[in-house]
Amino acid sequence: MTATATSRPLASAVPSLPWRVAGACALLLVGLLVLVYVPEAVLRMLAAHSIPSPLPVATLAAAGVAVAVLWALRYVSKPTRAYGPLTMLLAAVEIGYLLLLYADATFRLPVPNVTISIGYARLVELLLIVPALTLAAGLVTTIEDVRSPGERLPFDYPA
Amino acid sequence: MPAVDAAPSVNVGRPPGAYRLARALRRAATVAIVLIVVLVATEAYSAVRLASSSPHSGNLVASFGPNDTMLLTGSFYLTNSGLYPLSGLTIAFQVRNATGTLIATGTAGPASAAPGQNASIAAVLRLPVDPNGPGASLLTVDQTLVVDVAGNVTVGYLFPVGVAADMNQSWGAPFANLTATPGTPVPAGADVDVPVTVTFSDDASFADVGTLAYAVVPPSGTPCTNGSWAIDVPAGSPYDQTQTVAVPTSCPTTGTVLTLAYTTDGVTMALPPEAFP
Repeated sequence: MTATATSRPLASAVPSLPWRVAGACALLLVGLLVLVYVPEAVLRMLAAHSIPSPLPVATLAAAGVAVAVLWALRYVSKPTRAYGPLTMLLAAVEIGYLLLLYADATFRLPVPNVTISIGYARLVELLLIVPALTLAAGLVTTIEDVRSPGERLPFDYPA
Repeated sequence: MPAVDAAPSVNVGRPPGAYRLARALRRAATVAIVLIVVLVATEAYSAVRLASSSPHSGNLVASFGPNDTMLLTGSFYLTNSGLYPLSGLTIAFQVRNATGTLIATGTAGPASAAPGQNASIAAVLRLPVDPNGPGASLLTVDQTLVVDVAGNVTVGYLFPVGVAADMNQSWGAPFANLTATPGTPVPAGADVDVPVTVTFSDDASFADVGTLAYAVVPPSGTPCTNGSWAIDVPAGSPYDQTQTVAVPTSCPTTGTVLTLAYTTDGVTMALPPEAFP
């Protein structure tokens, strides 16, 4: 007897828009906390000890807000065709942010009569791998959504 | 926001290839960020262990060197008590005098140390003290030298660390305040005996033990006379001695200088010349 693959619509349990918005709000709060509040607090603490920040606090906050908002939007749009492009946009913003850090990837600690500098360019290079992979994943999802709309829903939201 | 798409017919059980690829990429990104966080945490731990192991340097020691140089030698030690190797440990030096004139530069390293090992770098700075060079005064003038030290080391793989510092190094000259003062000439047959009083203070950390050679040199450059005598001046002691120099009466009376050179352990260095009447 030969087994044959069956072909039938798979059930999916996509959360309603209000639920997704509620989840996105929670995600936005976590994102703002992790990407804006904590880094800002760390930089202000360093500044209180006369240790200069490698980036202006305002730039850091703007980038953090942008990434957190994109996280939330991506979460809401996951069952739609906007998910792939939003994933790519998020990855592009993260890459841009990391490239900003890469431009002067040296942390300088002024100690009386001594200057200590710590380079973190290699760390930024390694971190770039993460949004690069995310960008590729977003591209694949975009292509998948164009060729077979809704194909991934039963796997993203199994019933 | 685009509307949610309806799910099409797909093979039961196995996600489509594109979906699996996108999922694999997302998982790879997650694994990458976790690995990076672990790497950063362990490297930071290693850096803290390294800093707490008290890297230190020995005192710089001065001595005479070949070819009109003086040597400043020192060593830098550290213990790698971290989890990752230390690599590219190098130190660069610049020595300036009190007026900011660059006297010498030097480098030491590179060195490396595996986890649990010690690393040491020996540094030798050659300070040129020839009479026409920027460091000529090192032989005869006590001064404070500014030593700029710049060290680099990479802890593990991610974080190159640089340390730059200015150190003041007190320099005691081996022939501090050297003078050679000619006295009243006394005729002595075909020559004239000139008493020359040589005074200086050995303010260096080592004794001046060797030979002090002199020559009376007219403008033509050919010495009228020369000679030498032994000296043995302990570190920190003054020297004051009068030597009689027999100068031929044929030696020109104008433009003549008295040159002095110190020789020790096969090393000879010229001291600043003095006018000779």
